[in-house]
Amino acid sequence: MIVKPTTENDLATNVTNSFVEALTERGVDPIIVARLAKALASGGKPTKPILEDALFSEPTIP
Amino acid sequence: MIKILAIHIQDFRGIKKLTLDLKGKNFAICGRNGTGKSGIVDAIEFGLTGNISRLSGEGTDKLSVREHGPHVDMRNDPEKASVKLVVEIASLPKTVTIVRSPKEPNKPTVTPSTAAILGVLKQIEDHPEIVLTRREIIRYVLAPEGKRATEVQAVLRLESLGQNRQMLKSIANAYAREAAQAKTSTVTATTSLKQAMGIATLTPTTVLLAVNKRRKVLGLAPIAELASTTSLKEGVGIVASTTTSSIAKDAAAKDVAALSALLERLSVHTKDAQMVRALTVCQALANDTAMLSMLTREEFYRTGSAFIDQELCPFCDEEWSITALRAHIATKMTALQKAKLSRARAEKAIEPVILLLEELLETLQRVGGYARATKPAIATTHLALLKKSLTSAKQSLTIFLPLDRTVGVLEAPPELNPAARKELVQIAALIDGLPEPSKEQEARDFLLIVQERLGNYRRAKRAQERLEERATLAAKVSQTYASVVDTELNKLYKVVEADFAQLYGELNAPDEAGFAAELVPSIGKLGFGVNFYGRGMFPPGAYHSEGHQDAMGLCLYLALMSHVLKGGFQLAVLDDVLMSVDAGHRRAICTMLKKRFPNTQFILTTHDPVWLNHMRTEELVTAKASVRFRGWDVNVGPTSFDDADVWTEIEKELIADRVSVAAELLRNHLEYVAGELCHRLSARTEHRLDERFELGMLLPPAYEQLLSLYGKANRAANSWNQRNVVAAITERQRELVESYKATSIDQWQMNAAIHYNGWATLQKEDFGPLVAAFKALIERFRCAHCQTFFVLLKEAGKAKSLACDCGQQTLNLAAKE
Repeated sequence: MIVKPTTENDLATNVTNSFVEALTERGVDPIIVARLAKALASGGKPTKPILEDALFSEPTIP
Repeated sequence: MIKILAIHIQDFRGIKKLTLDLKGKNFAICGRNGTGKSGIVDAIEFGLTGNISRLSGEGTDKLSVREHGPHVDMRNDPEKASVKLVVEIASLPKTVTIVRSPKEPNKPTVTPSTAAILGVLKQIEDHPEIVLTRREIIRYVLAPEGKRATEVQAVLRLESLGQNRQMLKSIANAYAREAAQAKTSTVTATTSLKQAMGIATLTPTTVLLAVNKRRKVLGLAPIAELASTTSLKEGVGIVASTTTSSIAKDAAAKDVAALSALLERLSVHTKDAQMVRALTVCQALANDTAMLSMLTREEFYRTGSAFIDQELCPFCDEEWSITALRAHIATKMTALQKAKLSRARAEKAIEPVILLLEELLETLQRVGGYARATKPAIATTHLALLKKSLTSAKQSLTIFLPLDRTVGVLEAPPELNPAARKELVQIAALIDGLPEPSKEQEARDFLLIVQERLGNYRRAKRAQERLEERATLAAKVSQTYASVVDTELNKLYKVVEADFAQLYGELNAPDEAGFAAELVPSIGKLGFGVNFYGRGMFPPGAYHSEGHQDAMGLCLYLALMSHVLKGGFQLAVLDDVLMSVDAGHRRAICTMLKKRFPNTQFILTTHDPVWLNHMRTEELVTAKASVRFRGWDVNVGPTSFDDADVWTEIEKELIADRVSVAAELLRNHLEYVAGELCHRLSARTEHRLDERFELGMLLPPAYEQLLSLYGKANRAANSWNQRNVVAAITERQRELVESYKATSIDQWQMNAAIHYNGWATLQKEDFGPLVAAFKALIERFRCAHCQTFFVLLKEAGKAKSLACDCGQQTLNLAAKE
């Protein structure tokens, strides 16, 4: 998964892309990787609860 | 990015009213210390960002933009203070006016106010690194490595990387702590299970061996395999109990014995090795006052940072951007890394004691249950108090701070007092007095108890495994992010260090030909090494002079900014940043700024008129694109030298009957003009190193010199037989003498009491003529046609002419030979 580069801050985008790649290489669950990528891509300034949720949120059933 | 076309400042910082027409070009502001230069820098920063750096950061706790941004006389009327910037946004392209008042620093009036314009302004607001002061140079060049990393990343607009890294690390740490606590619970549950089973090692084989022995007694089928869902007591329900007591004698006796043994370990008299080690480590920390203070601060920042959820400091409600506040706290926490490591070491030493307390509490809970299960129940008031003390002790050790409380617990842990001991003896006697159970009953009790404790063990183990899994994932993610950030930053720093070395090398060629630098990032730190004349890499402060360090700071800043903003690096305010750089290098800096940054508008301040002249002669700024402040007064702010404006201003103040303000304006203006006249006419004045000249020291020499030059011109005209010129010069001489007399300035030399310090007490009617007299006198020093002040031109050291720009009133000074 590659985060779309923005002209605003190429380096931050590069970091997110490399991060996603490295996590995948290290065998992290793709669902978690996708959630982290989304959290970091949304303006690049996620809060701690957002990151925590991206790491550990579990599906719920009604 | 933007360029500044004009600035209008009203009642802001030390400035009452000031307008500068920059026209988007380089601009220089010169004036000795305290003349208001930095007020303009503050105004630019405030106009663009709503913030004033000088009022934030270390040592500025009680300062705020709202309260201290307005001029001191307007501190209660902040709405009257304002900064208006007219800027050009070339990328749109648009001319935009920004008006901002300290009353509402975050609510500027922007005209026109389109989304695109607001977007550009927001970018600048978020990244105000366009202003570079010497304080910033110290930050970049001489800062500790941990702090430099934060500062440099702020310039590179990469604070979010550091914040993400910190948050991921914080999540990993939190789960590591929770996993450690879960492990403690599992250890306690394991001990409890082993104790009930009477085995030393917990393995499926030892468990099944002990269990099947009891099952055989009850005639139950043996369990062949121990799975996660296996019930050890399966079938026990069909075996009838042979006792009326609900207490299993054997297990209860083991619990009482275990409780006594655990309390013995906790006692200070036993000197348990783990207790002694924990106490020694914590006492050493508590005796280190500086470390103790750092520990407290570290805890404070860590706790406080969790409360940053809006644009306010959670402690004082001061307005902050969340990004800036987080970066601010991160910098402080980086500086406290040593304390963090010491705390981790001490917590590791305390861990076994916490485990001991947890085991004690669980065993005490069971023993208390036996006392309550008897009829009548045994009172356990004192054992309950002991339980309360043990709980409190465990809590103190777990939260660690305040450290004196932790040390207190380790020095004097809760003990079994005589009353509690008496209760425990009573319980032991009760258990001892229970009838010996039959072999079947004993087997039955055994299976029921171990099943319950196996259940506890399984739950604890599952919780531990879940938390360890999370901790492992969080650690992996955190380490991966940190490693990726380091790699990317390393690449970036390589580019910046090459640009920096090239800029600095150019400035110092040929002295430092082959100059090299290295920016070395490591775990949130940034090392900065520079080559010293081929002798190796050293920190910038090691061997290079202050002047070189200043130049390095400027070059690093320029390298960073041009990399970050690329073509958008269009504005930089350099506030007296090169005070220690010598003349030769200043010229080189002018050339570098012009050549390497032709599209950047530099606004430079300096206290040094020579540096201003360098900027002009090297054509970094034009003569018109600079302002020189001669003085500053709390009533009028900085006094510059726009002649027409000053006389109009004085006139307005007189009309408003503010003689004291008019007097200050007149005095400051005359001092400036007289200084300029002395310079232009080469008049001889008293030399002063502090450059603090007063009017009485400047105007008389200027007058004497002009009179003398008229005399010389008169003699020259006579020698050339130019009768009409002689007549004109004689008239100008007469007018000059009369105007000078009208000011009564010559009387000041005889009676200082009547000089300008007394002006403020004059009435408007008395002061008006004095103003008119000085204005008339100043007019005698300038050409009636082009309005420029006369200047003495020399050739080969000899006076050649008294000239004006248009030439209509230029006088020849060379007589016919």
